[in-house]
Amino acid sequence: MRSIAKIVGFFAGSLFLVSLLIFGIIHLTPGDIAEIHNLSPSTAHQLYLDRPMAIQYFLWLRGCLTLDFGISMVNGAKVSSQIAEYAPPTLLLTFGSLFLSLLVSIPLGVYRGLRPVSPLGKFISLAVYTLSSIPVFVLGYIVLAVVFGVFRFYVTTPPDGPFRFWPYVSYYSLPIFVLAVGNGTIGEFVRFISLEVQNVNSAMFIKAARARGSSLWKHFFRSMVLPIFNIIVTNMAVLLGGLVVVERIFNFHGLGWLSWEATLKRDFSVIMGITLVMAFLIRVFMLANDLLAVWLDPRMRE
Amino acid sequence: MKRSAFYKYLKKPGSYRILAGSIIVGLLALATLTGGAWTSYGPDELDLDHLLTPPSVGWMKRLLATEAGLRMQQRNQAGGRGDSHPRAVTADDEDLDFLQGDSARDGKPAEDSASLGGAAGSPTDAGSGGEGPSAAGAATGGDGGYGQEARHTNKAHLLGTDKNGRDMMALLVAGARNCFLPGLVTCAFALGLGVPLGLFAGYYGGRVRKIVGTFNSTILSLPRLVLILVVICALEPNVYYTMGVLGATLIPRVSELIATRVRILSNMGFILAAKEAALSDFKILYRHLFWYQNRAVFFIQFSLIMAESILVETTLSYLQFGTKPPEVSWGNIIEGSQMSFFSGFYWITFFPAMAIILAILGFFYLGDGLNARLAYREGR
Amino acid sequence: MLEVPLLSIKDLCIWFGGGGNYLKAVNHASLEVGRGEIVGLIGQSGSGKTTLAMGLLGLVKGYPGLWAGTAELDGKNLLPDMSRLITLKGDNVEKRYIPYQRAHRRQLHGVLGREIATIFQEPKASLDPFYTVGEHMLEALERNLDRHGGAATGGGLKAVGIGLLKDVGLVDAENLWGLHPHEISGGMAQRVMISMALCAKPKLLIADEPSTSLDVTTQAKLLQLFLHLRDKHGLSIIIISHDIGVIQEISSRIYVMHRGSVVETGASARVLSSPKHPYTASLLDSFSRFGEKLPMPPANPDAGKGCAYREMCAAYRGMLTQDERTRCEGDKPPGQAESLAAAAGVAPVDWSKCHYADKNKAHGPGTPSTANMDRLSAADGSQENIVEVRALRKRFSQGTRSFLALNDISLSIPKGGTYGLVGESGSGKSTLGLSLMALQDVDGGEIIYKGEDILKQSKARMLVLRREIRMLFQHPEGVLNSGMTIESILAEGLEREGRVETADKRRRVSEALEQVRLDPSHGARYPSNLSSGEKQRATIARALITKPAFLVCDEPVASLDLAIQSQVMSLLKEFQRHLGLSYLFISHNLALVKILAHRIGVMYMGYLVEEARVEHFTVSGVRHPYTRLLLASTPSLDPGIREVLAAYPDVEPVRLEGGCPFRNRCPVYLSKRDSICETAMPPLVEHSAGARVACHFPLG
Ligand SMILES: Nc1ncnc2c1ncn2[C@@H]1O[C@H](COP(=O)(O)OP(=O)(O)OP(=O)(O)O)[C@@H](O)[C@H]1O
Ligand code: SF4
Ligand SMILES: [Mg+2]
Repeated sequence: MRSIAKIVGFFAGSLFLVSLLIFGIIHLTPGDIAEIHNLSPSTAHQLYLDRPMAIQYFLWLRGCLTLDFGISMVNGAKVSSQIAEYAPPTLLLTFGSLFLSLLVSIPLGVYRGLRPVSPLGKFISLAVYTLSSIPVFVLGYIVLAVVFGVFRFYVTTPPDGPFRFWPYVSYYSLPIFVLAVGNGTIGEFVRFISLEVQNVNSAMFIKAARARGSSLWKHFFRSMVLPIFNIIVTNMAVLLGGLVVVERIFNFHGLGWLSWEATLKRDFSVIMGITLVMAFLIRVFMLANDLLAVWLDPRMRE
Repeated sequence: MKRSAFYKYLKKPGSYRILAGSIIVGLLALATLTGGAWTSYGPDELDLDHLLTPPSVGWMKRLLATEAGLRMQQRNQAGGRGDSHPRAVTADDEDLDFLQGDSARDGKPAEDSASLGGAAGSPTDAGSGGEGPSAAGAATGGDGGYGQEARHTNKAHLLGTDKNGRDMMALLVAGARNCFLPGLVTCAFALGLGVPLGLFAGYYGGRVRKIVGTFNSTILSLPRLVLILVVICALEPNVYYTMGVLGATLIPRVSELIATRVRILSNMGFILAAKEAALSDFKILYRHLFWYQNRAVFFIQFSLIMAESILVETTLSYLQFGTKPPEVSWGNIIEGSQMSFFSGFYWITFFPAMAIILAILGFFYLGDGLNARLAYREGR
Repeated sequence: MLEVPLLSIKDLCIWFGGGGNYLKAVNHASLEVGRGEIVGLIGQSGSGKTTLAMGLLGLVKGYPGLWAGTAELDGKNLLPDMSRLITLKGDNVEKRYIPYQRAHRRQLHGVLGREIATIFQEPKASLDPFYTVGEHMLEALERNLDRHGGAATGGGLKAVGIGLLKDVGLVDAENLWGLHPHEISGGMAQRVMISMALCAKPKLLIADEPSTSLDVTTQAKLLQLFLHLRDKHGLSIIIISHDIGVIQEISSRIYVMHRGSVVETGASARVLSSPKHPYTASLLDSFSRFGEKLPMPPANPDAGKGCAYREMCAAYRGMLTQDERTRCEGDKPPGQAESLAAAAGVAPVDWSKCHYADKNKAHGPGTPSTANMDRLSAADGSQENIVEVRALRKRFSQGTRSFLALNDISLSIPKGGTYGLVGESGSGKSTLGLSLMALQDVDGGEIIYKGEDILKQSKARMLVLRREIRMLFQHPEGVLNSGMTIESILAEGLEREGRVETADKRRRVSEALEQVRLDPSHGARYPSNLSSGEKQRATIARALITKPAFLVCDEPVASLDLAIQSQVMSLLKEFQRHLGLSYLFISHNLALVKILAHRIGVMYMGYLVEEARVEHFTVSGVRHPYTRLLLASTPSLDPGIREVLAAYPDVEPVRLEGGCPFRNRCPVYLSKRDSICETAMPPLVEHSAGARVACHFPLG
């Protein structure tokens, strides 16, 4: 189908633009990159730093397509293996907090959408607003103060080896909680879902279904799937951005922490690699969203 | 029954939010404009006689002292320091190790020539986090570079002092300025570019819309904070650069909002009618579409973006990429005294944290209240 | 007369708001529907028709603060215990209404969609965009399996569903089954809604403005369908409309609503021929005699003493004696409730809320007529044309396919006269109007205005020409920028004249406002503070301020109430007489066009198919089968016209390629099957002086 081809083409095109953007920004850096890091000529050669800019970009991009993001400018390790090492906990953290956000915000959002003027509905909006204005790092401190200072049960070492309930749960639960609440994700979800529920609820076809006396949840459900997926996708970027702070507070070794460290040390190849991987993840979600829309919404199939 | 005008105002949707928001924003603006003119100390005055003085307001202390803090204070007393107020603590006190940060203890201060910000700790040593979540504290190393000794040390410290003897009140006021002004830069970028792009995309449609859409979707596929890190990595960590980048990442939101509204408006007929009345494109765009239809959106977005930029500015300062000491930002106050909260010196982190939350909340409430009012006026 | 009515509503009140400050949307209204009866509910917008019907079904929007009365369907109570709601004091209405609403919905369980079915104004929006027509039908059928005996299996259900779709005239039901709502037309969607309603074999169908958003030809077929349903299934129908034509054609009894109360009821024939209430009389008047100024109804009918309608009552102002008037000023006429009590609990069948019910008379029968329209004799014979359109052509492309929205259109508009342009939706009327205004590029042709080709003028010259050629749009709400005051909107028209002194500007703005009978103080208001009629008059002022010579009016009254339509039409007529304006008057309503136009052109799918002077436009006078269909579709009681209509097949308009685009709906072609209609588009030829038709076999 034409529309699917178009969507996939757009996916590839925008990833290309993103790579161009990242490369461009990094190479805005004043001075010679090899000099900044005192790189040996062989390392510089490995990173194509001795080639003209356009060739550098091309070679870098070609590497990226084969999952080879070059080597770290600080310690010479392979970037791809670093990312592979740090990515799993981060993914667990991200999807965990996504799951938590949905779990909390769908019931709240639906309630608020159906009863916007009720006292509870009003309270939900106020609470949601207030919570989303607490920055991640402040919330992180509050949580740490309560858990670490008062209760003293927090496990800070990353769990190793086979899955054991308590180490895993206690290591992951706090970051997941802070990422879901403090980053405004839950607030955004609740607000969006309740708005969408309100829209659908006042739609003509719901009124007609009511007048027919047929059950409404089927109509509601079908109309809500796409918007909910849509808000997940638009929040993906926010969630990944919040990782940097959360992982820093909790000393959680994941991609966010790695990018923070890379920025401190100006490790260009690492930050480029991480950014590209994150952009890829986001774009994959956007692609899935577009395809889902074509699949589910008859109006989108031309 | 005759109701006063104020009562009628309160009856309209969003008025409480607008009221609360304007009060907070007003205070912020006041702090920014007057600077430290009315605080007893300036932010760079060091009251060396009163390091780590608790707030002078007793009830506040009782209210705010957490259990952790109390426990710490009890330990201090048991340790024979006698005084319930840990005033005039000297820097060589071993309990205050945390003030020196990890790097000082590890004995390997950042020597990497490529490191950003000489004072930044080296967080590579992950294992040392075992005893607590003490991810790299800032090794601000003594009081060098923070300013000169205060002249009038007899005045009270309303909100206490930090480990360098700086007055918390003065720090808060100075921090207000450092998050308000960068916020304006963000708004200038986001609105100055986002609004025209949105107007063009909505009005001309077709190719213009495609170009703006491509730009937006490129920016949207990068996490905001990570993009800022990329820029910081490439260039110097300058607050105004980062705020500019933040502004750029907000362009998609603003322009898409405006473009959608313009598209809806152009189906309504008055654009056709304005063309029929032979108005130029500029007049249609500026007068009809922007001024008379979207200026409310402009102000709403202004306050929401201010909230966002305060959030990002303090976060970046916390991550040591924003405002650098000795310049004061609420974020770097917290960063600089990370562990003090757990040691009983709650006020050093508590007040900046409250300031951040309140400032963001204020702008949020203002924007949201205005939004509710707009929706009400447009009959949505 | 009605022994055991199917539905009887007594003394229903639905008031919105709270704290003693009520909007009485429905105020002590009583209504009865007999078995197999079609009852019409008429009134202008805002009179409470929809709130009455939707309140009955528990579907009202918002939160009523007071709710009283009873409603019974076949002896079953439809409203819950009233003690739950009635809150005369306090202003938190929502909180008290929600439990009431829940109780109401419980009460209606097993009635909604089972005994009472409903269809709405926007048929396409009433269907869930994610489900196909078939899925909708199956959903409705599954809920009502018990009423379809042995068709419980999937395949059997589908057969039943297809049968029901065919029953409402959807011949191509098998094909339709798999389509989504966005792929079908409004008329088809409304039929699907009706056949979903029929799945339950209900006793009562409530149709809320069922044909308002549809084309006249579709509407005519839909009204026939209602009659068919009543006869075949014994269905009782309440039809709600603001259009007297629709109501009079099919309903046997009428209730007239005004500001929340029923003001008159009776058999259709009686109410429409000799109304007993001045409001009904004025409604009929505005329907039959566009062009006379109507006094506006009072703002609050309950305020003050005496009859609220006396200001607009023709009898009060003319025929009554001084003594009789005193009664009108002193006493309110008894409402339905009091009359109800007097008649010992039986709702009055033939009744009106008026002291002197016999003295009200409408001025004519309830059909639009052009009898008392004065024509400009100058324009009649005049050979001078202000605008000449020559072979205008415009192509639109949608995705891969493209079509001609204007196909070599040639016409001329007499100076000081009106050219009426009619046709169904999508025929290209607006496209022609916009092209004339040079607001849209065209692909060929010429538009000669006073000897100059508009399409070839320089920008500077166009600025001048745009002062003389102005346009009126359909939706005044959209045209007036809601953020600007009326004054600044009007003043914009003067900008192109270079610098105009502020005082001069002020003067011209208030002049223009006066011309359209608006108070100059209205200039300081925002559009949202004007009524829809005032808004449309403001848009006329917006055009008049530049002293134009030619106005393109694109459906200027389509979105207005009947009484307001008549105000606007009379203004337009007056300006033509006094200012010598020429109009291109575009409308889908042939009856409306006939009032103002000297010449009329009929468009179909981008072609001009017939053009003649207005006198030719009678069912027997027109030559093109399509024009005759348009004329016959105007609601009327004449059985002869119903016969004419019956000759036309019930099919959807489609853009046919090659040959005559109308042939799939043309009775002449369908009986003759002549191949020339399939191969050649008939040229527009003159058949008598000044009359042209594009048909191979013009009607005789
Ligand atoms: N910009 C456009 N692009 C593509 N098709 C268009 C465009 N404008 C109009 N059309 C199509 O051209 C045809 C004629 O449209 P037009 O608006 O002139 O009809 P109309 O007679 O005014 O109908 P209505 O009574 O609904 O106003 C329609 O099929 C319409 O869908
Ligand atoms: S040309 Fe043929 S098909 Fe067309 S209207 Fe005339 S008779 Fe009918
Ligand atoms: Mg039109």
